[in-house]
Amino acid sequence: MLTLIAALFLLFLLSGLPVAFALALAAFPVFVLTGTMPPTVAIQKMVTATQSFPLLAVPFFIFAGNLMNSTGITERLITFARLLTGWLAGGLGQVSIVLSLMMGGISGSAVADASMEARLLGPSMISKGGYSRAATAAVLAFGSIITATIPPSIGLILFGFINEVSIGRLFLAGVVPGILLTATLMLTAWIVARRNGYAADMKELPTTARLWASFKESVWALAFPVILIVGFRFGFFTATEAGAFLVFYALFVGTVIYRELTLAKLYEAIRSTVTDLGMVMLLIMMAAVLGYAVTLEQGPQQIAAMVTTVTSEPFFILALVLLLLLVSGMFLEGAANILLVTPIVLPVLVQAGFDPVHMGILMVTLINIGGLTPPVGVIMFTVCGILDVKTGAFTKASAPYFLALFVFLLMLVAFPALSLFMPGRLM
Amino acid sequence: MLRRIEYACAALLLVAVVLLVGIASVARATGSPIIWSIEVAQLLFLWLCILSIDLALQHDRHFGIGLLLDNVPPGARRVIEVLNLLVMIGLFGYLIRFAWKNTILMHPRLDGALQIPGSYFHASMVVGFALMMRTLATQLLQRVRSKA
Repeated sequence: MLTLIAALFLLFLLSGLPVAFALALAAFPVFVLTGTMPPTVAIQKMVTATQSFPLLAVPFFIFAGNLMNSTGITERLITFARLLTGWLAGGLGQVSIVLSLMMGGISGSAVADASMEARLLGPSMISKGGYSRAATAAVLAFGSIITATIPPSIGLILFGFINEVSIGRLFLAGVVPGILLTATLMLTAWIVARRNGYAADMKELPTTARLWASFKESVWALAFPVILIVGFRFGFFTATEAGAFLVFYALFVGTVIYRELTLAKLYEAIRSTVTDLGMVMLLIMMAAVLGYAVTLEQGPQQIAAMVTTVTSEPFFILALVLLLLLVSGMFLEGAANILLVTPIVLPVLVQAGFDPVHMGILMVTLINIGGLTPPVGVIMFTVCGILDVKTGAFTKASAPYFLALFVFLLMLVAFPALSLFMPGRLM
Repeated sequence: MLRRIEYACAALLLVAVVLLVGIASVARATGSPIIWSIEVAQLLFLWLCILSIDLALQHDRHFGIGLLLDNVPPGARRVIEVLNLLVMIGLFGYLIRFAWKNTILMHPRLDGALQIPGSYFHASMVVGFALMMRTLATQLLQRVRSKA
């Protein structure tokens, strides 16, 4: 039966049906053929999949990110990032990486970040920075991964929700790796820029006065992750409440501080939030049905048994799982992967002695890397589409960054403290 | 027209959920928690999901893998796309009967502090399937017409 499910899923996936529908159709034989489970149970699973209070954090953080974007905060952050790093070799590339780090604190989606940066920074990187189109696309796409580790991250919320791991702890655990990833990518961009002669964006260092003025303008966005962490530390709010708070915060900043948020922009932000949400929620509902079917057929136990016959060495198991995630990440979009694959493999890893929070950071990062590779990379497609780059050229230009990410992942595996230090200290 | 109503309803639900959770968390912090806030927020959220799923469907936001579709001749592509739409309509058409049965089954179940009937939750699936079948049928008509 499990083989049938897998075969059906692949068949429907390949036929170009939306992933969520392929999930539902693959679960079908369990409900129709076995006769033990009436289809009404499938309907109930879809409903109960949405009935989780932590899950409400998803629409809130999407909404807040869209609101922040329409409040004019993005432009202010770009100015600040330029002043901070524009004078380095590879100027605008560095700016884009730092910008991803800052945006990561208010928005949780790598794809949204990549498309925003490709529109706002991409053209001037090509015309002024000396970057080729492919090199531009590579920096922007890889930088956006940072967004997915810095809290609030939609990927981490979904991981926490489906695997019943504390979202607060996951958020805290993402902070240090996010900053480390920024440093790793900046170093890589610097080396690449030196070798290819990419220009700096600014001739000289900015004056302290300008830097300070720009910082004051951007502080409303920069303060947010700090508020979030302090809020968790003292138990002021749960992730869901923090999301609602962030929405009010964005409204306040947009109307009172920057005064750029109009009713029309507000409605536009709501509209894009609704469609973004619809995409994620259909996946969650259908993944719940398939997940239930797979559990009924004892899928997780069989996979665990399979893994343990191959090896019982914890790090070998981890390597196996990460390889599996890398491959599935190449074919499935991030949210689908988190909802579908991580609940099957996490129990195996926990049994092998790994910490679920540590694994969460590692797996969510790895799954996002899948978005950067052919044949199906959502981030890659987004950036390449906007900048008009062929995926082959993109892949070639991204080689140094892949290497950097590989080193970064090795560090995450080798030093669990990088992820666990913050939640261990603060929660 | 219908689409604008759908958007307006979804927008209202989203705003309502944000307000409710925001107010409830302040109320909790000040020591007078609203006991029904979570169940109502989850009920509103469920209906918000259903509407947003349909709206996302109208905007082609439920992505799939284009590997095969992008590499076959346009004629074959159209045939596959029409088949896919038929499969999706068929799936919902099959499920909607069970969704209705389930709604009736769930109606007597009262839940939470407010004793909300379960059908208030589960009816969303019937509505959702119906909305999506309408959306998919429109898309099917467009595909078939563009063929001629």
